[in-house]
Amino acid sequence: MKRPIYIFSDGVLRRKNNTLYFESEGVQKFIPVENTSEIYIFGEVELNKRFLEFLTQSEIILHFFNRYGYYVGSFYPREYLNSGYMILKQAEHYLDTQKRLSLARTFVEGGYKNMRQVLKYYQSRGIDELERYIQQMENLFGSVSNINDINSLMAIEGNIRQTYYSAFDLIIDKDDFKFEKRSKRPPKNALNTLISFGNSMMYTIVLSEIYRTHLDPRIGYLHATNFRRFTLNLDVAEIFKPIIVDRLIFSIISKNMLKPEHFEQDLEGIVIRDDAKKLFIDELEQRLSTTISVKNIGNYVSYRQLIRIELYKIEKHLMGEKEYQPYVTQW
Amino acid sequence: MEKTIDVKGSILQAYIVCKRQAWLLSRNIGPSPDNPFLEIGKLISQEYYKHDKKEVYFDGVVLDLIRQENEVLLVGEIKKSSRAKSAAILQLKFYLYKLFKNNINAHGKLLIPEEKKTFDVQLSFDDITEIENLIEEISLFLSSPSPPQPQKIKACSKCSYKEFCWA
Ligand code: SF4
Repeated sequence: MKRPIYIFSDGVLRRKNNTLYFESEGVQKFIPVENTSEIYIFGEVELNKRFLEFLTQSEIILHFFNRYGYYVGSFYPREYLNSGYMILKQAEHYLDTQKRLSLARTFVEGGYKNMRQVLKYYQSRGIDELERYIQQMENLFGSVSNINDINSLMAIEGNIRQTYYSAFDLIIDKDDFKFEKRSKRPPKNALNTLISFGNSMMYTIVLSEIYRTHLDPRIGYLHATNFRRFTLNLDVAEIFKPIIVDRLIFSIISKNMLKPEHFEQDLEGIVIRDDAKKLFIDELEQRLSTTISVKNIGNYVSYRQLIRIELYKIEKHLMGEKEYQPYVTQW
Repeated sequence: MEKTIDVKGSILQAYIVCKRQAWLLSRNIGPSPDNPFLEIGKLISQEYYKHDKKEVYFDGVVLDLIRQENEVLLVGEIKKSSRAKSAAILQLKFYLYKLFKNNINAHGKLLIPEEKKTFDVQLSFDDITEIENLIEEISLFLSSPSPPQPQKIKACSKCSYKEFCWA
């Protein structure tokens, strides 16, 4: 099994013979290339072209985060699974307004249904006030089928998510982790910081999975394509953010794994400390390797495989084989 | 179709096992890269036959290994098991056919190192007609704008398209 590598320290990344090699404060570490699926860089790391060439040859993506934990960008090596056919199909569904809208709606639908499932779960555990939020989200979602332009669709999606987030205070119920309101770039409190960090992780995870399919990450449907940025991963992440990131946040907060000390006030906002990032990523990795049973595929699949399967479903939709139905969690 | 699709050895072999797979391959929709069975295939050809020339590209086909034996060119095709033997033999014959078309006379050997088996393969005149008919049939099939729906067959369980087909 290939695994992602996370680098928090400052140092130098090099190619040494046929392995990756990281040197930090005089300590040398070899990273076997055949076991590495992708590399996340949080520290200040120096690297050279020879190293990037080696990554390309080894089909490994590099994701960069700045020292605040914000996503900076990715080194996305030359695609190795190129299918002109699939790219044409992707473009066709982008250029045809109806086709694009129908895909964009499905992403909104998948995100909505999974957000709703998350709230329903906590409702079933006795938080009755959640009903109001669920209702409001349902009403908002009701208008999605009549919407005929992407911008309004994005706006509704934003409203649904806003309603959903405002229910977080009922679920978390801890003074140190008040939601208040959604704040990004920079987040104004610990919970918002955590959400931003988790979402960025989700975008890069989906991007890494897209790299292993024939899809071009620059052609998204809900999120506007400008061919210079990755957008398809943002679309697909809508579906998985509630069930992977948000659930994880609830679980680590309720287990008191995160403390206010894990967060620091910076000039601009609240930042998450490295030890908290590590903790979050450990839990995230565990969640991604958790297996669940999925009908059709037969056996149990991990959440990471589930993301890949979602991408295959999109490919099949583009090919006209089977209409895309987003994954919706059962509990 | 604006352009006829070039039938490659791998497509021909896939066609025998599963037509859908052949169609997907023709559109460059390759199998999932982390399928363990693919990895095994790669490892086997790296592990064995270290001294032969491997992975030779020739007229659109990839020859697993070639070797000069008593003035004749020997073309080897390596497989991990004899499960799909007849398809593998046909694939090998297809290579021999391609070579023959380029005025190169060659012999074939199907190699299954894991089972310590080898099979000699020769191209007969009947084979040539058979292959030419098959190529025609395949290009016609591939010109269809979409692949046939997946059908659960025996090969599916170990097929690297499994997740894709049943997603
Ligand atoms: S999974 Fe089955 S149907 Fe799909 S390509 Fe493989 S053998 Fe054919």
